[in-house]
Amino acid sequence: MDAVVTLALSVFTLFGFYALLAVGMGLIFGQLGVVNVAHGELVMVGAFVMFALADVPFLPRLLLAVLIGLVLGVVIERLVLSNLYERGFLATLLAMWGVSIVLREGANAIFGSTPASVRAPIQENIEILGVSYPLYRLIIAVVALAIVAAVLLVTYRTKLGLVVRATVDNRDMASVLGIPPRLVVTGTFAVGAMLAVLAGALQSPLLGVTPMVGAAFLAPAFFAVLLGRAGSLPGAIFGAFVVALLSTVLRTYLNETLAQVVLFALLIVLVAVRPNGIDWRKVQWKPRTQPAQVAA
Amino acid sequence: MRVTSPSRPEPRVATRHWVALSAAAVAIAAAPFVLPSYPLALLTLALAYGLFAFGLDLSWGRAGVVSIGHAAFFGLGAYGVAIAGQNGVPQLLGAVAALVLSAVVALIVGRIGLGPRALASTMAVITLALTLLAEQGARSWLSLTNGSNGIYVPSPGVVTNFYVTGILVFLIVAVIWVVLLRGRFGRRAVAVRFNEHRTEHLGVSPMRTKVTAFVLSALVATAAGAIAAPVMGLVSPATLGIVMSTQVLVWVAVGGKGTIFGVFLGAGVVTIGQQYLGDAIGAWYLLVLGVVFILVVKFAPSGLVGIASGLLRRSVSRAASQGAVIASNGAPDAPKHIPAEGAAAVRVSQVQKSFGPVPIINGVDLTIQRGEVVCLIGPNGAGKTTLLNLIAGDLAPTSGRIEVLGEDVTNWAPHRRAHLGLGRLFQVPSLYPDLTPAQNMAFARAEAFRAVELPAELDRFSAMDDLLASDLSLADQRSLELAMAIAWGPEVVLLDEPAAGLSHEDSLRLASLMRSLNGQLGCTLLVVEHDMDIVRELADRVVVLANGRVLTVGTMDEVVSHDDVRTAYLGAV
Repeated sequence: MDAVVTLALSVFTLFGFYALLAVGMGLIFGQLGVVNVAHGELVMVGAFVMFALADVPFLPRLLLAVLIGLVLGVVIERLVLSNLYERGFLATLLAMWGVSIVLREGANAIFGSTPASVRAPIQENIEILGVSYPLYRLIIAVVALAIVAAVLLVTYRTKLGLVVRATVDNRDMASVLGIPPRLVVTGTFAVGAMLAVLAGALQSPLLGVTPMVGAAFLAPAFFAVLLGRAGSLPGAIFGAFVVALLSTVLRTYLNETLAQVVLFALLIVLVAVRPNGIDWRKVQWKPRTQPAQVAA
Repeated sequence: MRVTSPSRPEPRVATRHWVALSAAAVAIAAAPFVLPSYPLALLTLALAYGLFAFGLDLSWGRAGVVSIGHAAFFGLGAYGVAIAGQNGVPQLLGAVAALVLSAVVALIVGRIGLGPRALASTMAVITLALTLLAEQGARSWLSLTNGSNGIYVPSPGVVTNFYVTGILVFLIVAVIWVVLLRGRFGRRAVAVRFNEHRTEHLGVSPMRTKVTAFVLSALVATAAGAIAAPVMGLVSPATLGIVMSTQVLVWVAVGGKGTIFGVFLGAGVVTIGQQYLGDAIGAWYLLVLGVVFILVVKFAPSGLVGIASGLLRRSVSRAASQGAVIASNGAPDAPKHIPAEGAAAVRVSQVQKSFGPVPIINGVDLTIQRGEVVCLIGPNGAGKTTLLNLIAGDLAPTSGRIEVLGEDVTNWAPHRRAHLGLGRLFQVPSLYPDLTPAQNMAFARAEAFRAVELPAELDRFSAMDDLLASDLSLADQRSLELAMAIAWGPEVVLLDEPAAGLSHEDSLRLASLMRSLNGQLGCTLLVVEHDMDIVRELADRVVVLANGRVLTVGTMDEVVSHDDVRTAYLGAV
């Protein structure tokens, strides 16, 4: 019984983290068509911000990380990505790979490769169904999921979200309707990047923070996005749950390396058996109207 | 537009190539006599790394398949040699085992990551996962790999090392270049990179070409790792890790992808620079590399060699083919497939196709005999283009059966259908815009289904070698597509509004050209057309499609007088 509860809690906390990663990545991927291979490095940046500013109290530090994430996102989009979209996904993918090198090696040059640690603001454990579990982990998972829910609400239920989706669907038409497309594109990327930095900041007390720490998060986040249904953000979150579940269960029974091998193999197989219907430019919504009757 | 006289076909190994090959051979032979031992060791390493970069370039530069975890294959080769040496097994055996393993892994990864419906980005992430896994595996499988400490590989001495590396690298590159890059593989890789869709309708499987490129590229990377092991001296998990994977991308990008000189230059400059600058700026060196990489991707996608060759005056056609030989005597005397006696050209039975809940084709039955010219007409949204796509294999039917030249092709990929002699033209011309018209024609002929004598009106493109196909006017692009499709020698051709956008006179001329193609070459034509004058000129039979059903079939006059047809076009009056 205890084992089951521990497992469930571990899945839940990992799910919170992966969901935050997947929603940021899915936002950038689905809305801009950019495979953000620097997503893991943005997580690493978030963790190092928390480490470097250890003197600032935790919550203001988190806010600073959010701010740095937004600024970083704007800078990357303006300096690196702008004008590359027309050259296709490979150009933007490689450019983001360049960004990931710069972030990783920058952190390496500044902080070195010895693992750094960040102290969690809450050290207490909490008793759940007879199992003692670190309270901080539960809180960040809840916070992460709340943020994910907020992103979904904004994207699908507000005028701002509509503006973003419209711009993505047809940039020219949107600009004719008075929406500044560059602003929307930059904003979307900045938010996606900020979510990654925030995820890293929240997760930092649980990590051995090294410049390489981010690279390992790219594959799970990307697979979560791939597993989702037809480019929808909720699909990516569902994918994050599947990845978190598989990864936790495998890690319980196998050693680290073997668990990773099996996890990647399983995910690759899952993606291989259903690669179809994945159109990232199409945002999913419930049809409100019946399909037009085909006139006889 | 100037039409040049047809030049002589390019030989596989031209004079300039002999010069370059001899120069490389002499340079390798002479280097130990000129260089002191430390620079020589560095050059040895640069050569081995250059081979690694050459390997990556085979997939990235030639076929457009990017792998961001290629060090997994390189490290596999290095570990193969190192582990064999440690356990007293001949190193060659270790290298061979590594090659076999890497071919198997690459084949699996390629089949999944490059499948017809896989996203192009899937490949990038799977290869990344591969390098992360390999690195972690090497770290934790202590009994085999000695963990993070790595395995020491003894060096046979600087000069021996250099000659062994130099000769092997030279041979591998020369053989792959002559046999593959200057042959069928090189031509197909260029075609797939420029226009997958057109290539598959010329009977070449894009997936097979890309998977071949990826497996080949993994094999060369593994060989490079095996050669590099004694040069590096220590084989550690970093050899197959993410930093190494990143470095090789930088070498190829900076030097210039798609060129042999470029990848070796990139590997050489960066490796040698690392030794000399690494001391001065330490960890910042890799950061600088990252910035350089971004700048290259953003501002100079063809790298140093691309910048340099942009300054040279090269003929349009040579720059366009990027080292591949497009022309080849590929056309067989006999067609590649002889249909059974009495087989219909196309037979569609009970075919349905829906997109989600919306039915487009509602049970179409249609038989087209060989040698017929059939026009498909119908109001907008009738499903004409969808029907062509179903026959050509670009769409799979929801239900029903499709036969082409006597074979049940319902579940076949487009390139397999093309192998039966099925040609295809699109509503928007699908060409190789970055090749010259002559090269477009040459590729179609090289992959031809059967040899045909082309009418002079279409053959004009075969000599047009001093501009790119993308520079042609829309009308000329359309004619070029028709010329390509016919030069390929199809048995049956599907055409989607060939006269759209042409003037009335031009479209009538096109109609008579198509009639003569039908008469001279015996091609069966299925034509979607809106212009009724052309339909009258062209069609043996007219098929009217409305709301996804065949409304009626007959001669033009029969069809025109049919009440249902008037209703479908004009609405009930």
